[in-house]
Amino acid sequence: MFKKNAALLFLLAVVIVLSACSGNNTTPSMSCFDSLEKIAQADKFTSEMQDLTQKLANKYLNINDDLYTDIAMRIDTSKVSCDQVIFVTAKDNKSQKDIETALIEYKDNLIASYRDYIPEEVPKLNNFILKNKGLQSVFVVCSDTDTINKLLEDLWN
Amino acid sequence: MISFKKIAILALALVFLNNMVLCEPIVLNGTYSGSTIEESEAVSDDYFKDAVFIGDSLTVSIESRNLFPDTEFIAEIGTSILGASKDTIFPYKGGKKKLSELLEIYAPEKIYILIGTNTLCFAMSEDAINHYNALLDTIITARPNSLVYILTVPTLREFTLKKYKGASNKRFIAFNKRLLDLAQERHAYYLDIAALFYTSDKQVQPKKEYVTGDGLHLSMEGAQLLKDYLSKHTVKELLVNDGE
Repeated sequence: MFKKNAALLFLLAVVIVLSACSGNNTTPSMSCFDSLEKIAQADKFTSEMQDLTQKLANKYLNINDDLYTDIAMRIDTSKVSCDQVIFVTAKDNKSQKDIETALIEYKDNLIASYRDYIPEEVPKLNNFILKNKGLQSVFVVCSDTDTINKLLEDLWN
Repeated sequence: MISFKKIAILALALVFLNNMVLCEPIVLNGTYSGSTIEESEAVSDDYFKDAVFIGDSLTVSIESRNLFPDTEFIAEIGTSILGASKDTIFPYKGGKKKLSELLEIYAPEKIYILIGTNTLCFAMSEDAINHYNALLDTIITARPNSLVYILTVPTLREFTLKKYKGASNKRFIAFNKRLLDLAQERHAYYLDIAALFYTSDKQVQPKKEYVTGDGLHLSMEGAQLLKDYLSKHTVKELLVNDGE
């Protein structure tokens, strides 16, 4: 009896884990640009935000086209703040790891730059958001991460 | 009594000289003949393909606006003139490199320098000029045959200047005037872009619409004005003296 119950419990646990994984691993169908627009609507960023071209996004993040299928990057072009939103959909799991490593390096470089330039921006950078759903990753820097986290939850669930 | 023939020859010579001075490129037969450039027909984006811009956040923000899509930018936020000449600060493929190293990698034929704000907010213009000279040493040593364009440093809105003790637009103007001498001494070309953004002849702070909310960086309108100006102020080509 005990063995049977334990087996059932184990089976249930496996089903729960698998269903949770499959939900989390579903890459959103919405394009990176549309996702970015949804987040930008929160009006939690400076007024100087502007979209970057793919070429500039590649340069700033030190990645190349081979790693992703879609990308959207919007930053404060005045450089007065480090506010920004980046959505990237990776080609595969390995590419996604490379992209996330690049995003962390990018963030570290920004911290090094802003430390002397506008130190007040550094806490924002330290409080960055980096999340993924399926093969899509999002990187956000802004002063109100709580609101952005809630928006991401709505967007991805 | 001057004959008609002599007057005609003199007139022809004057026309020829006028064409040489006003219509032809400034660099004639490979020799440098002045640091200022007259306005001419706008060049296409192709002209900037083999160019680089060197600078600080002002330059980074121009790059972000994608007005020069095929041009390389060697720029980093918060960079001083001295820092630009010697420090390992410029982003390159996820790491940092020195200006001299990047000039070797990009091998530009034209170099646009737009730097000075971070220095002028804190230092007197004489120190800044010495630093600029050191920067030109670095650039000319790395690329002795490239065209060097020295861009004046845009002034700041009054409220922005108040953030920096002792900073004033007078300092920027004095510095920019010294850049003209420097351009002449170093055989570079001087482009007074700061004047493009003045509110009026008597008010040298930039017009509100040409700068972003911080009163310092160029807005899209300001950056577009800069691009239009640069496109119309170019040294066309070096006419190599082949001995003919």
